[in-house]
Amino acid sequence: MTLKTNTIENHKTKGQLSDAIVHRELQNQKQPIFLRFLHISLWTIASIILVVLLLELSFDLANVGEEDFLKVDPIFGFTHLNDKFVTFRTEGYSQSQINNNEFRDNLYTLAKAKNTYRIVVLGDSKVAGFEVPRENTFSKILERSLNEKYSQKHFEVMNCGMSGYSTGQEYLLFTQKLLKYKPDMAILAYNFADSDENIPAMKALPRPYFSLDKNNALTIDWHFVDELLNSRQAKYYANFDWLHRNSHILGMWYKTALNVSNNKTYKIIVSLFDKPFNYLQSKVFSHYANPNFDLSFRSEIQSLQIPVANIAQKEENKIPTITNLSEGNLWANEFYSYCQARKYQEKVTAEILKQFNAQCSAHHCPLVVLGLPAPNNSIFYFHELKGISKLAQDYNFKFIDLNKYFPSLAPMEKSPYYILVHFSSAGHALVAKTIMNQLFSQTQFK
Amino acid sequence: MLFNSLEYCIFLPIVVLVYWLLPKVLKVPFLVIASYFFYMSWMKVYGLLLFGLTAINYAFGLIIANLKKNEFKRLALIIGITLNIGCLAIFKYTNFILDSIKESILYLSQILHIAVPINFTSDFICGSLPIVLPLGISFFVFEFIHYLTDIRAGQAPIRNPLRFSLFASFFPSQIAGPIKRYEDFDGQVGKQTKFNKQMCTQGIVLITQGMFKKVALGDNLAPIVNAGYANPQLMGTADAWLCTIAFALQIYYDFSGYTDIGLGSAKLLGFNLPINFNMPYLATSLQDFWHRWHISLSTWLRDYLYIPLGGSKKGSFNTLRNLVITMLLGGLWHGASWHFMFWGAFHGIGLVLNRLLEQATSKIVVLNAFSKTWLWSTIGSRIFTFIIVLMSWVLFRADNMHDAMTVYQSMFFYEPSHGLESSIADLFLHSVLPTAFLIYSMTYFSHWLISNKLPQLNLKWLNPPLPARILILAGIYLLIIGLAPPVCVPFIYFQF
Repeated sequence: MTLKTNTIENHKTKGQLSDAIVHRELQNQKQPIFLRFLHISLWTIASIILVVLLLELSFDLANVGEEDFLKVDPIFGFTHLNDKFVTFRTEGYSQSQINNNEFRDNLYTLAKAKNTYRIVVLGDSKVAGFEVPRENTFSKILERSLNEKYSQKHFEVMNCGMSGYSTGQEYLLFTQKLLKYKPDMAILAYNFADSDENIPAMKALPRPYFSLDKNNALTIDWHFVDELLNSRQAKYYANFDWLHRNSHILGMWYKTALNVSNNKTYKIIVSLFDKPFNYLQSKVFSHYANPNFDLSFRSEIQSLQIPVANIAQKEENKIPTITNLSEGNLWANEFYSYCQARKYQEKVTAEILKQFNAQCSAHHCPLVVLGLPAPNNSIFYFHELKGISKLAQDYNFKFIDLNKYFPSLAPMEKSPYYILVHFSSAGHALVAKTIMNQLFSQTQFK
Repeated sequence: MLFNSLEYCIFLPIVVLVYWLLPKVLKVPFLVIASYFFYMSWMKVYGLLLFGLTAINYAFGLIIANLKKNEFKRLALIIGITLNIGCLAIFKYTNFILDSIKESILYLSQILHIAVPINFTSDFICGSLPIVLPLGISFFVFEFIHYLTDIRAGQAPIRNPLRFSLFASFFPSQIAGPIKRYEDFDGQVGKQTKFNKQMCTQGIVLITQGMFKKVALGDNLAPIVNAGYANPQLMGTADAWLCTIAFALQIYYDFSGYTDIGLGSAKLLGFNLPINFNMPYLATSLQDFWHRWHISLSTWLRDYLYIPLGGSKKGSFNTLRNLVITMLLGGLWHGASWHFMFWGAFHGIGLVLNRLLEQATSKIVVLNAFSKTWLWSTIGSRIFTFIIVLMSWVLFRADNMHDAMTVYQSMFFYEPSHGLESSIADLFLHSVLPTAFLIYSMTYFSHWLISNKLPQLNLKWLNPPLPARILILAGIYLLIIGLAPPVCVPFIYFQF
């Protein structure tokens, strides 16, 4: 597949053309500047149109560029793009439509029929389940199982999972949007990154962050959301909504940028182009950070390490040390400050859950918290789940630790219940089965 | 640094630009530095290995050339080759040998009912050593052996150490070939002093073609192959055939894609590397296949293994024996495990049968007539050869011999599918492959149109100016990025 260039030089060397033709070509090259300019301009415009049309056509045919399904939101930071058709290939495969209310589910009416029992399931991508067909998500399996078991009652299980949400965002979603649906039960799927995402210290993504004031009362900070609302990206979304929804090329572009966002080289290029001073500052000054140490939390963590070490030793013949925990290789100093941050974020998360439960109680909608399974060595996460379990006893809500019901198969990608880190269809089925057994085995509905 | 990585997309243009801007005297040192940077971006310490091997082979090259007596030359050659092979053996075959010893002891202990200590398997000596295979070692060790052997045969050595370093480390062919011949490569050093527009165009076209093959086709075939070969016991008959066909295509697009990018990158720097592929799946016999598949390896094996063993000049039995030995070692070169050995043996025996059949065909009239029929010579022989090659790919792809046997069983004795997470057909239809194959075949058609029909029509205005060419190229790269799977898949031949 080599292109043949028709330069005079080539023809000369190959001896394929007579002198007369070479002369004629030389004459032709001496076109007036205007004509040459016109030729180049027309070709350039035609190329742009041709390339855009062919790319759109090819991507449409291959369903590429249909994974950009988030939009900016002033309250939640971001939500799913309503009425968007999504072909998801990042992990697993599915094709589905996001409904008008931004959920990956059927469109439910606000009014609830008399004989209907409505459950809202909140959580992040593990609940939304883009990796499997919509009907295979645990919410939908649960809905089918309940309707089969209790034929006298109609059950609606709403899949309100929003990719990337923190517990705080889920709490806001529940109070601002879902209470209108008059749910009879709220299931909150708690994931192992959730407490990181509730406070701004760990990752400064544009979402509302929660903190505690001097009186330990919960406060919300929309600072990063406001920054996002004023960003170029948000303005593009606002002005070119149609393109955002329909252009496969742009969808592909944003998806690719997201895919390579963890690439070291990409980060350096973007940082140097975007905020060169910030990048250099972070490189130079980060080494001088000197956090205050809180050693009490560290000893709690270390006490937890023993059973985890045993599991890991059996399975992988490796003993995790304090520096090779799943949370990343942390230097000792960073580890201490990390422990301190974890202690704080556990407190914040507990406060959000208390508020969540209070709202549920006020609206006669029992809260159930699901502790989603995590890799064996997620030491901090197990500490959090222990805390939530105690909180559930103290504040009278139900807590189901799914880690007990999932076979501990490490690594996750070799387990039939996961595709990579999200549930496979079998994983969703197991979650639904566990919920049925734990919540509805004894329940009678009139 | 992978050819299909963001880093290479930045590295290559910078190297090409600086290379052509530099004065002639600095071009070679710069390319050597760039090649070491490329190699050490993966693991810094193995830069020393490359440097050490280069220094040793440079020295041995000069020693062999300067020695007067043939016996001494021969001795120096043997020492040189032993050092190269020894280095390869330490990095590539230590664990294989230790594992094989361990397996044998365990097997014998079972037969002879001798108790083996419980901690035997985790002992240091019998466990796997943490050896990381240096990238490309199999390729540059073969290049060094060729270098020393040719000098022993009377060729002139490369006396300039920088030029020799460039031959040893040239980044477009560093990791997975093609295996260069030094006479050909060194002859090109310093020849191309001015930027050649035609070579640049050819280079860009080759890189683009290679990227499409690797990223849009090969990498998207990987999940289909992995789904089946990760769970061979779950594959039904149809799954086993489809997965193996998918692997045959994957390894071709992956390896020939890599080679195209390497060849293209070299062309941008004014070098022509040897070709490695010539439509291998259109081969009419197994012998023909090896003239079309990984050509630089097959010619190396012919010149430096098969012919020194005696080639076809010492009687028909020895010829056949040499064929089997050559292919067996060729299999072992690919990887230190039994399934690669069996893959080599499969091809060795296949080539022997091929020869015997050819001899029989020339003697038996009916067979001769049949082989010359249109149906056999154009279609039948190609399909038959493809199926034979497909059989061999099972051994190549399976993780071990047990898995390979499970796949063969599924292929030849009917088995329903035992429930893969998604069916192979679904995996294919849900991927971007149907569109990618459509575009790939359309490119062939448009290439034919551009090269055969357009010049006759003499439509000069259809020749796009430079800005339009850049836009079209950008469009093609966007297409490749769009069709790429979410995870960057390393090249298959990087492990060898």
